[in-house]
Amino acid sequence: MEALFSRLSNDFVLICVYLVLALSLNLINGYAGLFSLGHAGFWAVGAYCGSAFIIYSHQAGPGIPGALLFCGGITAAMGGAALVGLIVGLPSLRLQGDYLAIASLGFSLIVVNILNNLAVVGGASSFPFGGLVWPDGALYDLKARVAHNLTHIVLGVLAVGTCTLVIRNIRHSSHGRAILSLREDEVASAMCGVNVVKYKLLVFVLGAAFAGLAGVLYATYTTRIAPEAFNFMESVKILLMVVLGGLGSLSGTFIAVIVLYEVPELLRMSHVTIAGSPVADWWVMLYALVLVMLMILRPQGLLGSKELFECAGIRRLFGMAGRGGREA
Amino acid sequence: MTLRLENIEAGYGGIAALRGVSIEVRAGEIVAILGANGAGKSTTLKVISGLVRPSGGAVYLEDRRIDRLRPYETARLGLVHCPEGRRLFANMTVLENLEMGAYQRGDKAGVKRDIEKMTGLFDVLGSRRAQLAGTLSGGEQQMLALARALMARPKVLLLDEPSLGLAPMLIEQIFATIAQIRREGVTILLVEQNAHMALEVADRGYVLETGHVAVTGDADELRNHPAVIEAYLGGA
Repeated sequence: MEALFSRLSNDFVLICVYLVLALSLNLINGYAGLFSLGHAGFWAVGAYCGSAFIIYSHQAGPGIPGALLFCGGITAAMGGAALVGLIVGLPSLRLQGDYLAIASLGFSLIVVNILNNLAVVGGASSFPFGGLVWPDGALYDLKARVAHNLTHIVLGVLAVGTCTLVIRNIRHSSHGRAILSLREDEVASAMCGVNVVKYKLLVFVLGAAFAGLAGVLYATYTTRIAPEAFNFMESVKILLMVVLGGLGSLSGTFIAVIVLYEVPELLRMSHVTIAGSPVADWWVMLYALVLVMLMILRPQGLLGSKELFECAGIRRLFGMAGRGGREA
Repeated sequence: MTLRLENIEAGYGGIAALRGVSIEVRAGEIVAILGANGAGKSTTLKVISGLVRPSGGAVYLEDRRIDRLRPYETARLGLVHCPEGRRLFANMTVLENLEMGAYQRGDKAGVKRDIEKMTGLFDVLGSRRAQLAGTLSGGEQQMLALARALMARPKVLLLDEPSLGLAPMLIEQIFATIAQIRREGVTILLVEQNAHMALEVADRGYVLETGHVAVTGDADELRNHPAVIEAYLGGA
């Protein structure tokens, strides 16, 4: 019973973390068409800024309540990631397509490298919270662990909800239309009076800030972070979630994140033997095969750029009428 | 509004495209720029709207110097460039394309009225509001590009080859629309390969040759100018 709760809450919180990451990358990549391969870099910046704030404030004033520390941690994480996003974005958003991808990839490698050599946050080994968890208490205590997990489930839901609402509201404003037009044709956007650089920077910084939020949530949940957790493959994983769900589709992102997180988790437990010898990580092959098949059958992603309730089949299912969704 | 180019020089990576081009478009006029491929017609428009920064000379809109402004800033001054190749937002609907045209306008009611007006002016667009712009035919796309430019309520309109690749009947319709836009007080600078049609609607014209103004004059004058007849009107 306890193991099941622990397993379920673990999956739930980590899915929330990936949801915030994938939704914010969808804003950058799906809406604005900026091909970023460095999202894990902002995730790392948020995780480390938030952790450093919480851990060092706690050391400076052990009496500060956990909730206050956590709020400060969120601010530090989002602010830090946004600032780094601005610094990275200013020069690199002049680049387009593949070039931006390479620049952002380079950025995320630099982040991991710096963290590996930054003794003040633990260097290449982990940066642990020690006994510090929120709500107060130690993790080896069962009651404290349950409270810790429940708190993070609530925080996860809040983070995903905020992220979804903010992106949705942007999408349905005139700003959203301007952002979408960037993906289509930058020159034409400028001709319509859109300040292209400003909007690209805005989208990039906002996406980075949300990645930072995912970072602090991840850090306070696991209470132990290491640079290796934010490597390049994580950026690819987040990008896969976005592409698979459909560039520009928020509900598609939800489905893709849950599937791409849970399927490996479930398959990891199973064992396959070929010619008498066990094959390690056999599921990676299946995973790759599923991805290849999906890109052949649905190159636009599961939902394309539509939302779930815009799809004809779902509309019929719920007996909804009115204007149909855009064709992907 | 009056648009004035003084001795504009511009190029691409060291290759000169314009060598001292001076052009004036007075308020309410239609002025045509004619010339062969590579003469610098499109570059001239790009310099005016800020897509290409000139290496010499100056551009004035009324008395304001605008050659250091960026494209979105010139657009906000009412100088709207309808670029070569339509450049629609292909994966956005016809309606969204029109709304993007009005991006810089604050008057919601006026925008709504103008959308009705555009779908009346170009009736093919009315029935296709919810269709993606990329799925329209070439002629419809050209209409939409023009309509999107008009949605900005331009004071000066820069048109780059609006007749390119269109059937003769559609070309007639486009030029009829251009004449109508002018009657509403919009100043128009028109780049065209189709010298016949361009000189029919234009008041005056400039003929560009390898980056400089070779001939200039009233449309009637140009129509009867031996060099223009030989090069662009195909003998007479």
